[in-house]
Amino acid sequence: MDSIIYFENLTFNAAFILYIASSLLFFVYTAKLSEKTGKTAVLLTLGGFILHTAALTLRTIEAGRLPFSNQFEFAASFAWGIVLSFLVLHRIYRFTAIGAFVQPLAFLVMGYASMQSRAIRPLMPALQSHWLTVHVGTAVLSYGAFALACGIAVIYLIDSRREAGRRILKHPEVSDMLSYRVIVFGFFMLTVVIISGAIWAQQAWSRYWAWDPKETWSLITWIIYAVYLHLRIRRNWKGKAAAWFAVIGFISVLFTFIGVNVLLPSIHSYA
Amino acid sequence: MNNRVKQIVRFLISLKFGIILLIIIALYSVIGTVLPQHMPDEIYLQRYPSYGQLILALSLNRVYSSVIFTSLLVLFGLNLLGCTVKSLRGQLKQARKGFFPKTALIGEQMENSPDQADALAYFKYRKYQVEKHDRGFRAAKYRWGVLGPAVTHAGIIFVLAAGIISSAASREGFVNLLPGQEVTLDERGIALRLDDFYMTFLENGSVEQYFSDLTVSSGPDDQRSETIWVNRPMQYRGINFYQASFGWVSSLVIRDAETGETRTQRQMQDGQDFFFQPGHLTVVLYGFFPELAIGHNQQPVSLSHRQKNPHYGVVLYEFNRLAGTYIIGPGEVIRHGDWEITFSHSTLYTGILFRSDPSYPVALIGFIVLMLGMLISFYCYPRFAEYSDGALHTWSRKNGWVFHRTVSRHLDQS
Ligand code: HEM
Repeated sequence: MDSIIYFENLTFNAAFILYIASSLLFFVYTAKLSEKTGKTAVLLTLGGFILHTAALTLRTIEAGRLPFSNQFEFAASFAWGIVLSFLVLHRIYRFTAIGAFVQPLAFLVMGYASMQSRAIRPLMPALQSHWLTVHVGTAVLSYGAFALACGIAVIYLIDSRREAGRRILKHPEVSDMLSYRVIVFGFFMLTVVIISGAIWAQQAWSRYWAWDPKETWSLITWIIYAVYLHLRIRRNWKGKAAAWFAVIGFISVLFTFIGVNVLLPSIHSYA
Repeated sequence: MNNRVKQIVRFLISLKFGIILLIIIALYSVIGTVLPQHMPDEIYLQRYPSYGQLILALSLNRVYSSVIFTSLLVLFGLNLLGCTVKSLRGQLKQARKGFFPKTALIGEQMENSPDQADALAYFKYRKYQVEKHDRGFRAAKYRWGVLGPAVTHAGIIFVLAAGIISSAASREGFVNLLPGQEVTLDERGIALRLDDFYMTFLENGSVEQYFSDLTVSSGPDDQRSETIWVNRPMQYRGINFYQASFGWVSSLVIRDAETGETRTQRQMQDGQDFFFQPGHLTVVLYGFFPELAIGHNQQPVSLSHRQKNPHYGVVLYEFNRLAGTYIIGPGEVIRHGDWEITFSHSTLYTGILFRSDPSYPVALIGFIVLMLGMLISFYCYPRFAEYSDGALHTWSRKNGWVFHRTVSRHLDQS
């Protein structure tokens, strides 16, 4: 048991360090565009991700359930979701530069996780439900995708001001389209998060919707991304307006996740 | 309709107005999470001298139940309905079998023109509907996907309708029950009896789960018994019964110190007080501590809900002046003047919440339709391709670049 905790901490910290290193290398890459630096940065990210996965697996073994039930566990899983999204996108499209705008987000969320208490607590009665797994599992994927889309939208906003030769990604239309596809995935997952939360609340607290602050903020986030999708339907609203909404949307995600717990009273506060 | 009215209606069902409404709804909701809700009016006026009036005028003190918020939601629902119905006819046309957009040939063109036979094989393998013509062929897939947004919007309309049904028709109540107690709930004459209430504990003493054995009946030959716990309510005739809370009741006895005669005997919950007229005494049960320990700053705390070291925190007032504070065990006597005060026999009661909400099935249908609509919109959007005179063009309104890239990669590899 103790050795499991030891290895969990070890792999977690090692992953954290690799994420910091890869963030730095990605920045060097965007400045110098040396292929080798880019490859190394991706390899470090992948290495960090494997260690991170090991840390979460060890914790799952130790706790006898998925690591989804307090602020530390969720933040660690959230960071994992961000890196996963980046690696999947990289595998398909090979846009290495995106790492410079996504990996720092993973590292920040990881840093937030490392400031939380790591004690393994048994699940309180209200959390003992299969809906917890669906609810938080989809939240990890959804939030990870939104972080990635935010990074790409920032690239779009920077590139749309630069002349063609100095852009981070050659074609701004492509960053626009990519962040759209990633948000589409995140938005669908967020819908599942909210719906599974509603069904669970109906079982645990008798109401599928009660305007609790955490619920309300997830709805606000959902509305922001819905507006994003609709802005894109009109050709002239695509691009910048939509990119700003992708950034605002992610700020709202962070507020839903961290701000609500710290600043507002909520029945979700224990999570 | 004259032009003016037409213009207004057109605006009311426009996407622009829909987006404006969504943003207003989001901002209004934000206020509800930041500003404390449902406090007495005076508090707002005191705390926010300059905005107090405005807060009350805009119902910002009860955002989610206000007429303004409800009207916004209704308006949004109508906007969405209008907007969806308006575009439905065009969409149904496009969903039909033979439809092919005029714009297909202005779509993206593949850099290397692929072999016609390869391209044809690819689209057939991917289950596209293929239609040959003398200069090449046309291929299309997921034409019906154009209906995705309409399905999504229908799902949202169901959920909004559920909200209206819920606020009009849901009923809710709450009772505290001791084991063995029975109450009649409402005009329908449903009786609720708590047969037993208990908890299970983890090794460290924290509560693992709360259980209530309930019997619900509406007549001698229609009764049902079930055990409920948190996350597992019981359903009976459209009413759900929830394990909601629990607490201790303790038995207070006040005796005449000289004769030993019992003058008062009553059940008290934590925090309750009782005025004993003959002695002008107010007895406050500050709290029952099943496993007493002394915490920081010398306050009594309970380590768990197991009765391992039970004690009572009691405060006495005489003629409204503090007369003493005590920590006593069960049956231990506080002697004050002519009176002997004891607490004992603490038992658990449980709070059962019961609620009927006919809107839940409607919301569930909405959830399913909504998710289905999104899957269609996002992953089964219509795709078109045309092969003509050696050039292949692909076109999709929503996701042209990704679609083009996918097709190009496959054809380049083959
Ligand atoms: C929270 C509210 C809403 C949600 C979640 C929602 C959802 C969606 C989704 C998922 C799509 C498909 C978009 C895509 O594939 O990129 C869509 C398309 C669309 N929505 Fe909404 N919608 C909402 C409100 C509205 C409102 C209020 C209007 C108009 C007043 C509207 C008008 C449209 C239109 C015109 C389309 C495009 C149809 C097409 O591409 O053929 N939506 N909506």
